[in-house]
Amino acid sequence: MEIKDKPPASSGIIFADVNFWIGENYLFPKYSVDDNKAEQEIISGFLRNSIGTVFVSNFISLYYSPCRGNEITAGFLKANSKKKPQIHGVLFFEQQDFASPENFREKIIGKYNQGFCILRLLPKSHKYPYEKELFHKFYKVLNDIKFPIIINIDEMDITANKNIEWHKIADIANSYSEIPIILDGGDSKELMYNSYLLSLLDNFSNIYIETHNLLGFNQVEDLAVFKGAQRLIFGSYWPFMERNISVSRILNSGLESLGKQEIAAGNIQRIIKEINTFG
Amino acid sequence: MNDFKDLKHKTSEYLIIDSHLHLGPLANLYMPSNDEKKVVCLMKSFNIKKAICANHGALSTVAHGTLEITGLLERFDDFLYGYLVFNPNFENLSLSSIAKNLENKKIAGIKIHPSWHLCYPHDKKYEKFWSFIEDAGYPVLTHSWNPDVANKIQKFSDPFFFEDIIKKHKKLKLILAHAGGRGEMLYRVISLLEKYENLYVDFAGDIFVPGLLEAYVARVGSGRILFGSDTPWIDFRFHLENIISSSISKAQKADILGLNAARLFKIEL
Repeated sequence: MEIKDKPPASSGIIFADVNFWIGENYLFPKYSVDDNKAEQEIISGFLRNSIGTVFVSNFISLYYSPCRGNEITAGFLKANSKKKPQIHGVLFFEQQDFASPENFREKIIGKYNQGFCILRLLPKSHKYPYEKELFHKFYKVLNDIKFPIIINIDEMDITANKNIEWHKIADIANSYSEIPIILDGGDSKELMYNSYLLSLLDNFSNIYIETHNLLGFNQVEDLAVFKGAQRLIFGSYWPFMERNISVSRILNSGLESLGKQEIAAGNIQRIIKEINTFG
Repeated sequence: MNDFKDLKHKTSEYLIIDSHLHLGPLANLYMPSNDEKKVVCLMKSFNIKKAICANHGALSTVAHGTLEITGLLERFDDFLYGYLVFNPNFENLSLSSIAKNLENKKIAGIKIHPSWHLCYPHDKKYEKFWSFIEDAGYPVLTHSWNPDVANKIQKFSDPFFFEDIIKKHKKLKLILAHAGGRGEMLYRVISLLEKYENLYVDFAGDIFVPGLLEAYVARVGSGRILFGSDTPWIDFRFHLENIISSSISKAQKADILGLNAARLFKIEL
């Protein structure tokens, strides 16, 4: 299917989606995006919701093997590198890197050259440390390169009782100020009016909030008034959430057009542009 | 918040009742825009004719909660109906308060929240309540959620706990709020609706799963699905948009947006 440069939607705002999942979700087929349907879904998001750039996360990386999932995603990126919409990869941290942290810089640059632009951390699901002291060799590299990370706040809830380890994120943001840290609310409701958000945004300019579950009453607007629209980043949370809704949250917000554009795509594009593999 | 122009136009074609609204403050939530008057005005501007409110205060305090909801019903008497809350931890006090306040014509039903009150719905502390409310004939809105999630207190609100209760109390009309909330449970709840005709659901909260509404309508029809927003936790306009843009018929949308609630809660318009 040939895709034109601009989607048919009339708002003029084109989105970049940092939270889009493909692959087999072994827990529930309805939330699986079959490999050969992934491209179709991306095109559908472009045509129906003006999502012009997609950063794909792969369920295989989450549930089976980060290494294998990263390889599959790399193949998907290669096969679609010249197509529109634009597709980037979300890299999942591979535990074997703990055995050879000295190779991490070279590895992340190699992955970047394959089309990966964001690193997803899954410390709880994959059982590895992400504290600044224990992960410092990797954070140092990410900081030098200005490579963004994304973390679902359920991954910071070790007790599984909504005791989010906000202080660890604060420590990382404070020690590695060049790493853009994107907080993804995932399935949790903890991003709804949790006062930690305000404190984190206020104290650390490298913390960003992904928007898919900022659905509370006036929430996007309140956060944008507090620290500016440049601290919010659009994510659809497909296939768990209807893209009409996540897009509508931004398009129909009470923000000025510039603010909507920043959230929709401008902020993540700026972050990606600042990645410096010579750093 | 002046956008959603198309939505205003589209909602004007329906009778709309929000059957799951919360108002008032809550200690662990910071909601700078949660102003009752602002919420009600905005709802009216999107053609919502009535809303049924379980105020946050009534979930968290027996002593003050009922006063707060009755105050809200007086303040917005052209718009609001209310839920009284049964708190099983204050079983007798809560039940006598409900019995007394059911005289208020603006009370539409009872809200229970097993997770909030840390008490299973089949606990002994609920027994008198179930019999009482079945006889009184008021619908009960209960929180329901998949117990297999990170949040441990959701274990109290497994939708399947209610199966024995509705078997025993055949006249009871029970609304499973959130339809089980997450993952596969959202689909398993359909089988409960297929078995029990006195069971209803809403998708209040952050439940915007692609194709979910259509799956319910295909299997159980549109007659037992209610529009409930969970405002201010969720901006109600996303739920309106989700229903109106779904792939079901206009008559089915009309049922869900308001006709079902008008029938169930006997709301005169």
